[in-house]
Amino acid sequence: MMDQVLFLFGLYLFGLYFGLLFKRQLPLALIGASGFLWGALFWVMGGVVLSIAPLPYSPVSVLILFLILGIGLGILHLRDKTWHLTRPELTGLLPFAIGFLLVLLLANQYNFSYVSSDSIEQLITARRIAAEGLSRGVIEALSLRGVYLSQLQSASAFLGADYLAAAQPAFAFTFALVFFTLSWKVISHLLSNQRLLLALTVLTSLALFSTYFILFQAFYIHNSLISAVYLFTGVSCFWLAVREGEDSWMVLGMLALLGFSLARTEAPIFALIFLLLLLSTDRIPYRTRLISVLPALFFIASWYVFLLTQMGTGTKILNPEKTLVIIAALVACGILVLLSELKWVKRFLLPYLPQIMLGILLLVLLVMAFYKPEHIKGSLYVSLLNTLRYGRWGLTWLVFSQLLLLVSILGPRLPGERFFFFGIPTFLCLLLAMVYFRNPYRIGWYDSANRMLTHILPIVVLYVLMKAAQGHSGSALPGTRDEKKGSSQLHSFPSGHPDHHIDESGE
Amino acid sequence: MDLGNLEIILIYTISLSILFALSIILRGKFWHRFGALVFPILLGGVIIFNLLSFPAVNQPYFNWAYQGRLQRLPSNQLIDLFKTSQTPLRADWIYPFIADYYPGRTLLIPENLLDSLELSLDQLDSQGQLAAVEVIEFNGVLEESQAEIIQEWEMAVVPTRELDSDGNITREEGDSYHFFREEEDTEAALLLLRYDDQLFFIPEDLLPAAEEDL
Repeated sequence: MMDQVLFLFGLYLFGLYFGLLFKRQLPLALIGASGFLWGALFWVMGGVVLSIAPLPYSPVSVLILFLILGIGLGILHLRDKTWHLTRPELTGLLPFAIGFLLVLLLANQYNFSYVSSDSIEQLITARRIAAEGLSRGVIEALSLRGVYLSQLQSASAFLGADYLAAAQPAFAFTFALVFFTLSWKVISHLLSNQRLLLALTVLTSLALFSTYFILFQAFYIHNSLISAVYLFTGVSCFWLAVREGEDSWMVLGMLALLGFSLARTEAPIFALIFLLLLLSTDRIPYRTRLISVLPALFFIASWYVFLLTQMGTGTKILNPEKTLVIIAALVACGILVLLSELKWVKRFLLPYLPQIMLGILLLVLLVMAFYKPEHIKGSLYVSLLNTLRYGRWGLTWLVFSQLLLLVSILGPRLPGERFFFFGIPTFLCLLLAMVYFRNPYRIGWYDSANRMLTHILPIVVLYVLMKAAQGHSGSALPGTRDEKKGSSQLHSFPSGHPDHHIDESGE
Repeated sequence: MDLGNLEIILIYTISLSILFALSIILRGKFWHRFGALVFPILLGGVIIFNLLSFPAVNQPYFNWAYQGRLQRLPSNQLIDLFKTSQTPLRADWIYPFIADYYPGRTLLIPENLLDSLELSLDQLDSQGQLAAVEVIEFNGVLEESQAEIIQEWEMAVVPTRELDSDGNITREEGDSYHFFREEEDTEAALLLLRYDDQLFFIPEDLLPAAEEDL
């Protein structure tokens, strides 16, 4: 019973050990909050690497892999002199670690887990991974639902547990902490009034995490909440990387996007939306782009190439043709990163990438609606009803979708707004376009599109929060000349569409 | 108050229009007050509504296959997870239970059960983590009186549903699988027996003891 608590806490500590590499550049609270994200991701990536290698996936081999990784990280700590924790650092991190351990103990003792048919398939696949490795049957299952959850849950077989009951609550707790700390960090760039900053961040976090469907997913063994926390972390880190010009944000952002990409089979395509939006800002130094983006793309592409070679005819979700499309998209993005320093690319392609992406998707949707009008129209209507009534979202989507429309059309402009202004509609368009290749979306919380709305909701909430903060502070951004003039300069904000003409620095 | 879909969409559109109108009429003032007043009030409303509506929402959902609600499980065992979730099960989700209850054991399947058996011998071997699966010449179909005796033993019961021609789960009840829970570790082979739509995994060494009754 306690084995899984110790295992999950061990992953948290390993993630913390990794995160401390960035303690000089990033907020300590974020490092303390996000430890489990990185530890669990290393476990999943380790399992994937062992399976592709091919080496036996066993407790001993994973332990050896973690030892090697731990030594590597230790060398980096020694080089950067980040190994030593000061007393304030220790006291800053301790509440997070104790809180996380407490959540694990409570979740293990008071188990509220829930499974749907999808979850059962993933738990069975987890057991098969531990027993058979990546056999043909396991590959088939993974090409239906993604590798992340099954690979993580496969540890239960090594621990003698039926499943990891505390894993999902651990992700939910991490999500709440990461949402709060990252929102705080992002908003502190837009709002100098500390009391309002605290009030808005607390209220927004409470609104999001009091939503029934979010609370439900804290115990629902599925990949939606896991995807959501990684995507939110990725997008927020990208925004901060652009804003602060700090490479560490890029490293965490790319790792988060990697975690998101491994959680669902079609996730890499969604991840590419935000990666391309990042590239379009042209604010990340070329060297940083190469070092942070290419390894992650290589890892994801390698996994899909491996799937392609092993999947045979594939499944209804992922067949060889769709796998090739994903691989091609990843390779194309890699090539774009490589060429992104060329003058003509910087001048004629990168600035217009958001509009090109969204434009193409809208065109594709139109064509799809022409060929399958009832299919697309019905799915759109069903998704709308799910957000407003049947999806167990309470008032959350109803309120935030209205605010989203309002702030994106008439709200004050933001620095780095393209991540949200183009990212959110492109995500939603892609979600609708996907239905062309599958059964129409259904009424109910269990509908795929409804569950995938969990991925984008925190980003929508953050966007509205940012707009509210920006609206209150006017054009006065902390650290700029306008800040001193206070919020009286509100009228200086032109209402209208944010686009590539916005000065990304906000100054 | 139970609103229809169209009414909800209408309310949504009207409230959105009011927000748009206010922001256009008030211009700059609107955004200043939006951040300090309107947005926090809206957030407060969302929080209060979400918390107050929690008990009403946390009820079995209208779809029979996705009852989904939060409730405490009696234990951290897989069987309690499956049962409490009330998710209809397929026959090929039974293998983990065989792996949990009888790892490394030999399963004897009477030949006359093979045609009606929804389990695959290969998957019994691999996913069930059995040492071997052997088909034997034996009448594995129980009489009613024999089944009544066996049903009195302490068993974990996992019911399954029938599948349609596309492999989707239907409302029709399928076979239910009865796993005899042993208190002591034993190496005895398991015998699969059937009565009607119930399948029993019985340790072979238990049968001589009950032979007189059976």
